[in-house]
Parts: sequence; C-alpha cells; structure tokens
Amino acid sequence: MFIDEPTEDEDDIDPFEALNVSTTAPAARGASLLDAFAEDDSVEDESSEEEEGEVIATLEMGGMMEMNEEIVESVIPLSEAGVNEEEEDIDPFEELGAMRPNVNAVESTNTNVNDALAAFMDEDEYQGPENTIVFEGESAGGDEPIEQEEVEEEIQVETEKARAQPEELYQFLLEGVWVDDVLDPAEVALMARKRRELGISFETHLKILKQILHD
Amino acid sequence: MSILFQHALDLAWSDGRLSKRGAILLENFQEILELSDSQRSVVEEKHHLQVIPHLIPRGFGSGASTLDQWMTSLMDLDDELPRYLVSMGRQSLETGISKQAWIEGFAAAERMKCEFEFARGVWEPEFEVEILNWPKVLDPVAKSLGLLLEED
Repeated sequence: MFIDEPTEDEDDIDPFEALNVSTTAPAARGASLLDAFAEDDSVEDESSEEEEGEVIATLEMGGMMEMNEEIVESVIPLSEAGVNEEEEDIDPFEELGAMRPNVNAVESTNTNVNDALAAFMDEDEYQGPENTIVFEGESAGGDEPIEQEEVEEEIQVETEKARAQPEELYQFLLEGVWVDDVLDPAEVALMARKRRELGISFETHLKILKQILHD
Repeated sequence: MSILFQHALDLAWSDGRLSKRGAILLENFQEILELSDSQRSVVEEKHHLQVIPHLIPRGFGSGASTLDQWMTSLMDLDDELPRYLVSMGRQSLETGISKQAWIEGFAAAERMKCEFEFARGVWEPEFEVEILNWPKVLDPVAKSLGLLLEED
C-alpha cells in the first residue's frame, strides 16, 4: 500500500471541515455576510437609535449617564473592578461642593420651548370648521344662503371700487401737472395718453379737473 | 370770478359814472351769463373797492353805450364763438397756460356755453384746431389767458 493512497476513513474526513474553513465561494459568502450585516443593522438600528436618543436627551438635560449594572458586570465583574455599591452612590457634585444642575428646571424649559413650538405647529394645522373666521354680517354656518340684495350690493361696491381706482390714479397725475402752475403741450400729451390707457372719458377728465381746482 | 361781467362793469363805469341805462344793461347781462346775485356781488364788490376809487368822473354814464355795443357784438358771434374759443385754448396752451388762466378762461367759456370746446383746445392734442385771430370783443378772455398784455 502506498502512503498516498487514501483509506476509507480518510475519505470521510472533510479537510475544509477539519480546518474549519468555509467551502462556499468567496463572492457568495461575502453577499451572505453583507445580508447578515444588513439584517443586524436593521435590528440594531432601532435599538441603537432609541439608546442614542436617550443618551442625547440625557446629555442635553445635563443628566449623567447610568450604565446598566448587568452590562457592566458582564464585561467586568464589579467585585473584580474594585467598585463598591457605596462608591457608586457618591455624588461627584457633592464631592466637589458644586450645585447639581437642576434637571427639572431644564426639563420644564424644554417643555416650554416645545409648547411654544407646538403652538406654531397648531397654527399650521387645519383647525376645522369650528375655527373658521366669521366676518361681520356673515352667518357662522356659512351654508345659509346670502340674500340676493346683499350680493348685488357687494357687486356694485366692487364695480365702483374698480372704476374709482383709475380715476384716483388719473387725479393724482393731474394734480402733478399743476405743480409748477403752468401747463405745457408735453404735459397735455401725457395726460391724453393716460386717459386712453386708463379708459377715462374727456367728460370725466373735466369733472376731475374741476374737483382738483375747486379743492 | 367772471371776467366777462367784470369787463361789462369796466365799460359801464368807463367815464367814472354809471347811468341808469348802464345799470339795466348790467342786469340783462347778469341774466345772459346766468350769474347768481351772490356771484355778481363778489365781482361787483371787488370792482367797487379796486377800480371805482381810482376813476375820475368825466361824464354822465356814457359807458352804457360802449357796454351795449360790446354785448351786441358778443351775442352776434353765435356759431363762431366755439371756434374762436377752441383756437384761443390751443394758443394759450402753446404759450403756457397757468392754473389761474385756465380757471378764468374755462369759467368764461362756461358762461358762454362753450366750455367743452375750449377744454378740447387745451387738453386734446389730437384734436385738430384751426388757429384764428380772435375778434376784439373776446379781448377780455384773451387777456385772462395771457394771450394779450393788460396794456394792449
């Protein structure tokens, strides 16, 4: 028998298994490892985010970080680390003779700030029909039919307003023309152009002119 | 106030005295111009305070004849009056019309019921206007518009 000839027993032994080496292809193994990381991350992310949030909140409030005793003991037994329960109770602020920051006050301030912001948030939110602004002469229900006369009056007022605006503008320009007390052809040409632009008749021009000169 | 009625007063008092005929003509002219008593009193008071004290009486109210002549000439213009007023309006714009001149010119044109034509002459540059020599009867209006010097 040759030394190199394998025996039946030797055939059963998987060298990879014996050497504790994976038989899968590196690429496939890499992908599965990445997947595993991704899964772990997603699970850990949630818990770590919560923890992170707690830590930040605690630090922001000026509090002290307190580690879970079980976690600490799992790493280093407290007895071995030389930490007694009495030592744990020692307040470093007391030791230094300094005032402990008032966590409650900070918390209340934060609450106030949050409330103030919440008030702004509330304004942006839809309040619902109970907060609808009710104008004078308008019913709170809003669904009640407005009388025809009121609608007509409103339309009339709006029409008069729209008509009054160009006249007011024209009056303003006309007053400007008389500032130097003398009217010249260039000013007259400008006013004629403005009349066309603003849709003001010559009769209206004379009316406004009289109004200005008599005032 | 009313340059036309003021001119009528000047003519009626031209020799330093006002005759009965002159007073009647002034009454008629007030009606033609559709002046109210209060409007007339404003013009007349100003005339009494500023003009009459400086007059030297040298006749017996002969100014009535001059007033009558002027009023007749003015009434005779009739259809020609709007054309003259448009032209005078345009000429006054070209020379530069003051606010006071506009007010007086427009008021006079209003009394003669030609205010729209006069205004077009001043305010409508697109409106073609024939430049005319105005008749002597419209000299008071021309003076108020600055087209004639007071001495002229």
